[in-house]
Amino acid sequence: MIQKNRNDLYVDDVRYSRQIGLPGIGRAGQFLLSQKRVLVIGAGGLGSPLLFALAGAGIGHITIVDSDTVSESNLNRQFLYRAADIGQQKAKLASERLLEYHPDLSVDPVCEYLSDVNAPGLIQTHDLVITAVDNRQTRILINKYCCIFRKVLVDGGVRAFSGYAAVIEPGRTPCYHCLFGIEEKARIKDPPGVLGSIAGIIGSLEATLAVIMLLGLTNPLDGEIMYFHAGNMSFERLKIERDPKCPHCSALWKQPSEAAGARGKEPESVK
Amino acid sequence: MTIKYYAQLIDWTGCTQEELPVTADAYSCISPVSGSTGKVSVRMVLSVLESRHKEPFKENIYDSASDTMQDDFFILLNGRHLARLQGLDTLVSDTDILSLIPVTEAG
Repeated sequence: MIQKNRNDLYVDDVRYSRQIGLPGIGRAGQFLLSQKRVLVIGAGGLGSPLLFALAGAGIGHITIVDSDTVSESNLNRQFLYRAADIGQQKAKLASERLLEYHPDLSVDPVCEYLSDVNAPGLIQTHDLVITAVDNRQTRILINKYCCIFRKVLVDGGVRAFSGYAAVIEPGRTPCYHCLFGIEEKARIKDPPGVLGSIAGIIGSLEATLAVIMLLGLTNPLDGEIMYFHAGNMSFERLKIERDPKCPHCSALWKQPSEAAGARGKEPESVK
Repeated sequence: MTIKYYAQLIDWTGCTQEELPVTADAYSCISPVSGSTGKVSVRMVLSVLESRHKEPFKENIYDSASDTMQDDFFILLNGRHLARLQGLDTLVSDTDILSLIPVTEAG
């Protein structure tokens, strides 16, 4: 674990002055953020902006999971890295860059693939999970353990000139499997490219949603998915329905959700 | 019914959403699907949309001639994945919302 000058009881009134003055945050909210542990899976295009945004917001601890190394094709959007970083481990580099930006941050790089072996331990020990990965299989895996451990999951994805962001509260909103957990007969023929700034927009949206949820504020998406398309500069919300037969979250709807715990609130009754 | 498009489907169709009345008359120009009960299915809706939007829709979403749906997008009916219903044979009504969404997985 990389940790420098950490003092959990301290709120830096100067560094966070522009946030502390905001309604819904204040010194109490800033201190709350400093106590939170966030798991970010993926330190690429989405991970670059969202990691900086989380660190800047004053999240106390961030664990970064990524087994990949930096390649030249990453550099159009993965602003955490430089040309000289090609070939090096992303998670380790990202941790170092965040500490340069914010020395008080506690960061833990995990240079491994996420799997059924390490996912339970990682997800269980964090307050909130964020996906910044590039494939559906990993999202399905993350969603499964977020449902098991009732962790709020902030999800996002990008493609070409578009992207989406969503907040999944197991037992309160439809989960990733409810919508996208469909077995597909084939995958996309060619890997779609993405405009670098689109990853910046969606990664920033994910970070914003994460901070809102960690502060215990109302989920602004409330089970809907937010799609952004640069072609007409539109944000469109998509309402989805839960799958009553979902293998991951259907059982959670029959009992009070504890997912709100990650938001610092008492669990709500489920309709 | 309302058809909603997301992401690059907006570019392919030129709109974010459109209305399609679900009545028998609205489909009189469409060849009946084999085995059709006379009611309106998602397959029939896609055929109408293909005739409206021509090649971009045919190439990227649905080709009625071969009854082929591209596999890199999702169709939701009232927020539920079509695969969890009756697929393209799912029947629709005039108050339904059909959402077409591209698979968006990169990070």
